[in-house]
Amino acid sequence: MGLLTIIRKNKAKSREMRVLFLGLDNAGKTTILKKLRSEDISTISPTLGFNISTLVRDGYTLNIWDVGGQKTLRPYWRNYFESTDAVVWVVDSGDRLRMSDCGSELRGLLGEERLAGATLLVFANKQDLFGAMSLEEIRDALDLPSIVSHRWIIRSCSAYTGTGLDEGMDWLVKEVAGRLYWNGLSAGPTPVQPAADAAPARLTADA
Amino acid sequence: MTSTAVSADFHSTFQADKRATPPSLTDITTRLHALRAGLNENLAFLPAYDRRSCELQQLKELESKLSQLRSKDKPKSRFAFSAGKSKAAPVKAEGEAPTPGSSASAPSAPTPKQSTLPVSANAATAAGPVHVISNLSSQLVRAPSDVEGGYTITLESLSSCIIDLRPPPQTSGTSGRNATPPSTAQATSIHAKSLRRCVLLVPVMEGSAIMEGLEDCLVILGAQQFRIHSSRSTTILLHVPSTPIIEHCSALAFGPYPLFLQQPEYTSKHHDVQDFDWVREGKSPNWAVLDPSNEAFAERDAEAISGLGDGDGDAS
Repeated sequence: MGLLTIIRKNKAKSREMRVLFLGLDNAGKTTILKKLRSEDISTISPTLGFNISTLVRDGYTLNIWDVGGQKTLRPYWRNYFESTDAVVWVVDSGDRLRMSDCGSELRGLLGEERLAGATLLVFANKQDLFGAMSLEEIRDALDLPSIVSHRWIIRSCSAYTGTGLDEGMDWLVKEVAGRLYWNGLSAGPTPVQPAADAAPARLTADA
Repeated sequence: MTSTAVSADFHSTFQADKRATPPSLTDITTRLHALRAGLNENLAFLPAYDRRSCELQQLKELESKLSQLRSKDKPKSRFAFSAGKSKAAPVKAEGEAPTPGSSASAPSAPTPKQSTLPVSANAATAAGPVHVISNLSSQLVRAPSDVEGGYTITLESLSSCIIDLRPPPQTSGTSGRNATPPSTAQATSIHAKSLRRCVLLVPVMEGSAIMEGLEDCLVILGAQQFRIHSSRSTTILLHVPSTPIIEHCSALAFGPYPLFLQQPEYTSKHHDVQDFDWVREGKSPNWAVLDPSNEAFAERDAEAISGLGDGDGDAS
């Protein structure tokens, strides 16, 4: 029994995942989390530091760290990188003015050694709003197709209506579970959809 | 950060190089190339306004002068590809994702009030028109009339404008035989950048507002969340159920949303501003709550603005 096997078995016993919610301020990170937990989303204040919440999905416990996205807070993101299994990058689809900022912040994140191997889920949030950028536009603006270092997917969602949230998180959990707990799921890693036949709600990394 | 220093540096060298453009044609060409290269190098650091003014106005002007000189200098070539496509595109595509706003300014020249463009000319997406209002001065801008439901709007590089995003006035019951059904359109979220001496009047929205680079503005707005960055000398009459955020701001004044315009159901926290540049004890010097005597002034201001709406029936 190799060391890797022992580590995996240990992890499998706990069935826990550490997930980091990041993105520019005003993206809707906290709102997504509250919606996922069926909490009231009408009184959310901008996050001044960070929130921790726990979510149980498919028998896995997700320890979610939601860190504020204000410019002043971004340098502190790195304090949360250690042993992260997945990053959820939340984008405000209406924020055309800062889409390039959003892209460069994401790039910086992916270059981080401690996030190597983490699965990336990009939530194109606020898709319920008229005038929001489309999934394809955001994918291209963030230059996602050039990401080869991480498994990624981009999904549209609306934290306000709740559309797309569960599907995104389901993909994330399956993806991470398939990677970490190879015996945890019978199906193993989910096949990644090629970008060509992308359903309107999602675009993925082409393996 | 250093980007301001870099951009200031670049600005002065750009101006100096531009002035020093020597008379010989080949010299001019090389100098222009150097200017262009310098601009491209620094594109990432430059604020949008500088980028546009250097690139679009000043450099284009020089280049067009050069081509004029060239055409005088050389015999006219017999064959030419039709111009237009290849010229502007490569440089623009580099620095940032092309915003429809920047491309929108050109075709809307005859009626520069606001531009409603499809998301992108070639994409087959059915996302509908995008509301980007940019590069205007001394205009009255109204809420778009061709939308339904909640929409998001982007304002960029406006000066001395009045932006009134209240829903278009509904036709009243008396004259309403063949009146159009009341519009369901309402601004839900707003993104604003680089506004100078503007008045922004926004109804109480369900979504959030985020602004950057405001100077000498009056903002009247209701939203779930409010954030403002890198702004100064601006008065904000706000109704917000969460704490407003300011970052890199100075001389901001926060007051209550004029209730005669709209009466939101929740209580406002406009006086509970969180300043990211002030973590110490005590109140941040970067913002103040308007004192009650000033609120009267604010209401007078708002009344003047609502007066604009009254005159609307005659205009249309």
